[in-house]
Amino acid sequence: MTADGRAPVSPREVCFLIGGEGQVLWSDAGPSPVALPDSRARWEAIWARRGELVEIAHSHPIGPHAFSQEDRTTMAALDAALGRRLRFSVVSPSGVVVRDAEGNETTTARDPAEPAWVGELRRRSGIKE
Amino acid sequence: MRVVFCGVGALGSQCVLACRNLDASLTLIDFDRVESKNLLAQAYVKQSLGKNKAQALALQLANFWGVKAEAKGVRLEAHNVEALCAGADLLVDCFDNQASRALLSAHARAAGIPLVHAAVAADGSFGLVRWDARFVPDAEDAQGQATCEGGEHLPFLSLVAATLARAIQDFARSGVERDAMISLAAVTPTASGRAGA
Amino acid sequence: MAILNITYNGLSCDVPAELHAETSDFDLKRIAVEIVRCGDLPGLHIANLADDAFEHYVVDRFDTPEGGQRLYLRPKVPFGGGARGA
Repeated sequence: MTADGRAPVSPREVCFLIGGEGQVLWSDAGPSPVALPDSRARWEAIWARRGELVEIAHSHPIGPHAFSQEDRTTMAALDAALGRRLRFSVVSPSGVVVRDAEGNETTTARDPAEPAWVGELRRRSGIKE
Repeated sequence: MRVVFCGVGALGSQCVLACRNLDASLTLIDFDRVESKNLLAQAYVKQSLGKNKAQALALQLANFWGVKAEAKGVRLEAHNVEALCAGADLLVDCFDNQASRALLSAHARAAGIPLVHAAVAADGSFGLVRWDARFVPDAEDAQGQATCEGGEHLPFLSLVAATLARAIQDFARSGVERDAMISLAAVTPTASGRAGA
Repeated sequence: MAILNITYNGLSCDVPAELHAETSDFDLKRIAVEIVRCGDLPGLHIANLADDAFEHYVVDRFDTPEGGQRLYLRPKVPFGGGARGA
């Protein structure tokens, strides 16, 4: 059991769709710590919530602390489809990597002031606190 | 003279290229779009992938040879056959299915427009060029004969297309309507006549 | 006859298309580029759309009860870190 009494989660990639208030609009999880396969349901969730969607975050529970090539091509496809650039994030054991709507990338270590959804994404991904 | 090519797939597209020096205006009718597999046995180039076939072939004629052709990227059907064939002095049937051949033939006979058909056997063993008065279409299962799908029969398809182009050329010059049967061994004249004879 | 749905630049539109059931994803993407270029997609006409505009898209195919096909050309949405150290 974890410190908060919940059963430990095996490492797996998780995706959050985040709204303007930092709220999780939708989420799903993959079977693996290194991949979150393509999903029509995920696309439909993105399209249906495109009006309130500001960020798409996912986890790399065992790294890397960076966007992968798969991530980058998916981000390009989503930007093209939505007609605007979203903010994208990767949450790894080392911290958070962000690509903002202007295309700038920043890499940060764990930060006590990080949004609440980051901790939730870590927990659901099986990343140790 | 206005020549209307109905269907610009394997036979039609190659025949159109061979007719590019004709003293005639060319009209191309086809609803289909260029797919990768079509590059194997049709006159299309990679840059035409995704385009409507009639428009793609007209573009290739203009870009590569400076030849203007009119493109009609629609399916020939009962409700539009009269409009699509209006003003034609010669109709060329390069369709790949019996229904379209029969529709075109009925219209040509009713409107008194000369019509020449071209067809290849599904196994690529022989081909025909036959003017409408002597043409009976074979039944077939589906559109797109196997001969047109792969590149295996490209030389033979080119032979049939060239024979059809020569028949069109002869008609344009002298009004003669020459039939031919084509096999890999020979191109055999089988009949000839004159328009209205 | 198939109905092709294309999502691009914030729009999602249906367009009837003469497509064979076995049309490959590659060809479908090229056909979609031409459809957008020539303005056949209502509200979305981009004459200079790049050849590779749909490079990172996927095709979802569904049969309709009427015997036709509905095809959805949409962005791919996988994410993944890949193997550690990759």
